[in-house]
Amino acid sequence: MEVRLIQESEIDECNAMHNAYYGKNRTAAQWRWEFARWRLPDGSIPYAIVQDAGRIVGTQALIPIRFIDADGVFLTAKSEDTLIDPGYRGKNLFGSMYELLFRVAREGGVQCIWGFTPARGAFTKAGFDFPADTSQLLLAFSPACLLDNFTQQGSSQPPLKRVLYGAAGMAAVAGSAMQRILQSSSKPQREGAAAGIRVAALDAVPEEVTDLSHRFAARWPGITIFRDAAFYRWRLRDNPHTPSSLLGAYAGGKLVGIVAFVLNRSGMGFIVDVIACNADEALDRTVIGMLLGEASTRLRTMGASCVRAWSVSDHPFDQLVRQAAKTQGFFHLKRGHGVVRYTRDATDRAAPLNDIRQWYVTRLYSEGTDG
Amino acid sequence: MVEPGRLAAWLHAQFRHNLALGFTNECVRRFEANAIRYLPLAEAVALRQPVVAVPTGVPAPLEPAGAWRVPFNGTSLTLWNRIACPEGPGWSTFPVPDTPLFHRHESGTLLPAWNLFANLCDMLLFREERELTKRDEHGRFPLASSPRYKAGLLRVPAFNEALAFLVAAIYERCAGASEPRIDDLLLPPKIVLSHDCDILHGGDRITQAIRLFNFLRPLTRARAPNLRKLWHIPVNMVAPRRHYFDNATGMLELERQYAYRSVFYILNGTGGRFGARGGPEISGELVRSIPGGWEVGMHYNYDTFGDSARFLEQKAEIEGFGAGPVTSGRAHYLRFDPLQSFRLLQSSGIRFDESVGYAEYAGYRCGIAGVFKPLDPATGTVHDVLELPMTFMDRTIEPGGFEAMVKHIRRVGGTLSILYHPGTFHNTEEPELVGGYHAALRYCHGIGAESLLPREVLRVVDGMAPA
Repeated sequence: MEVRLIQESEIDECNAMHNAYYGKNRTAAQWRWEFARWRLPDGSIPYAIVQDAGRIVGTQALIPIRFIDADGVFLTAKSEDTLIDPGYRGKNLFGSMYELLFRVAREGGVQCIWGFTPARGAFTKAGFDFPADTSQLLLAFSPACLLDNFTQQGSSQPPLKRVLYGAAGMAAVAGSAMQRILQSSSKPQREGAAAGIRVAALDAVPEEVTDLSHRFAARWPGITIFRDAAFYRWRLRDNPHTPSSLLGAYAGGKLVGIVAFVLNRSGMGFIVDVIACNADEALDRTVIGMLLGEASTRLRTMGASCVRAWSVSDHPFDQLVRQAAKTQGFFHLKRGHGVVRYTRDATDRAAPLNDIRQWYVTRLYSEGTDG
Repeated sequence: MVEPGRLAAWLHAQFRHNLALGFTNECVRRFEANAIRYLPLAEAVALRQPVVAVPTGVPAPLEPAGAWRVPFNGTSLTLWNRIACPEGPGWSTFPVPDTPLFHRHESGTLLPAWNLFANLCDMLLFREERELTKRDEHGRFPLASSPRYKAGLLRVPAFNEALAFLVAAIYERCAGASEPRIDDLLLPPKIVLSHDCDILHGGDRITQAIRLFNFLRPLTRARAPNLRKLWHIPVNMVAPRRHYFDNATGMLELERQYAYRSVFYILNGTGGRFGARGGPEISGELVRSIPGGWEVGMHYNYDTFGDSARFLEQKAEIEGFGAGPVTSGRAHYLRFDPLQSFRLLQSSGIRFDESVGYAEYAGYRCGIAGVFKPLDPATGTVHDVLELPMTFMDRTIEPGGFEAMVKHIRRVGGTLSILYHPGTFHNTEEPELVGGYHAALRYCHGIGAESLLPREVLRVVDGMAPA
């Protein structure tokens, strides 16, 4: 068996292996968008495979992602596309692939490798830790919202379960509506209007998002993704799966907040990313409330049965987003995947990288099929 | 009847319009280089030049005869009305005699193996409508009367397939028995998305009465009443815009997600069962809420059919809502006479129309996924109206069938007209249609289709230099 980086000629076979296993129909173009954007100096793609007798039996990708903190921009990598052929499990192929990728990451200046996964055992064995579990924010519009979640996962439910989930969905709808009333959901819009903030739909990624990302990093503690315009265009608008819609919050002519959202194939809405940077936390909360409220309203007209968002840590901005989301009728549900992380010993950012509470992470960093 | 030379020039112009939309600029230039000649059959056969010779003047039966399929660019072309291989030395048929695509003489003259000229002219000149006089209760040519429908050929974009063949031929890709490939010459398929705003207010008396009727109608067949219809009576009494006006904004947001744009055809003017039920206020409000990147056009009211005064009155009201000059439209109920209506459209300032289609079937009524300027065969007048026949309407979109048709267009080039009413976008009263528009947009986005507005299509066609 051979462990090495993938070659261009093997992309179709690799993609077919994933499609066969997961029952999906990801195209080669979608694969290339996700994994082939960033190349190593020799032009190779940081995507490891295990080949046995000419057949690909294991895959593991690294997607380089730039992060930013008050000291500047640095490189991390997202772990993706983990798959071992069931007939080859138990041979530590995952560890072998990561041995290669750790070297690739080190040589490339990657400070940290991270991701989301339910496969704790393999990652732990390879040297990763699990500092947190993701949680979710949910705003329900329709009793079908919980059933749509199963549709997305490709599973169907027996009639009795459908009735029960429908009833739970109705309760969620009632709860969201009650939450909006009790929290006075229109308050952010009133406060924002009074402060001269307006929300506008964006048909293209504004160049100012780069500056917003810098200001956010300077103002808020910890680390977050570097949301420059090029990254946003790649991840959100050039996304060959589901491109995101964008709303910008403006104070005068200045971009002070942005939200990305999608309606996915199963009729569920997702908040893919949200960030804001204003004079103070109260105004940030107002702007986030305005953006989430407007995005949710638009998703509802688009036919969304619900709106979901991720919450990954107790970073202060994450907490602020949760507070603002509550005013718009979102519930906070402590259910999600494990966050997995591997921090290099030689990094000069050990403190923030090793403290998950200093990470502000959203769905922007998921696999890309729903934003 | 128009003489063949003039018909040929007109057909060639329609090829050029669709080349500009669906093929590379280089393709458009090469198409002009006199590589295609339209000649009577005998002259075409006698020609000894390396050109494509399209025989004219060969009569074709109204009922399509003996269709066959030929592999082409990863799909198949469906051809009918065979043209036999010319007799005499030097002629060969490709790819195979039983299912031919072209005949080639050793001098390089290439003949299509089917009656390309007559087939396309018949379809674009509405021969079926001219020779078969049956009409339905709305004055429309019935689907069931179409010989092409009966022959199962209404889903063949024969014009696009012919154009793709001609492009392959002038690029010398028709080389013997191998399947011609033209992927490098094609631009992404185009879609023109439109919304006929028939109903914006679900609580009007007529809509509610129809709902009540449909609730009770199953009882006449000893079936349980349609409770879904009953439920929506109070829903739309309390929230009349739900599933109608609100859906219009929802579709717009969904299109924005995919960087697509659409045209909203406004139904205003006379009310009633077949007219505008919501009144001018709600129509005006919708017009004013449509962002600048989208387009507003006219959904010709039922009573404007053949009535220029009423037509202009309705158009003026839409323009008065703040829409600006209205230059595009579609007829309500598709109540449209392709033999008469283009004159009225042209004189009324409409330059882009999408009325020609069937309300109950997704297909190519004129055999084209693209645009053409209709010609009056009696006078030879070419109307300055660009017709984009409607291919898909919400209720006619069949999962699987839609994808197959769009995929085929990606392989031969074309522009598709897709209509989705606000009332069918996300309406729990019609659960079978919920999610349909999103699925269609998602599929189109996935294969790289680009959306164009009517004014953008006009800009492309108007911007072409004369041949």
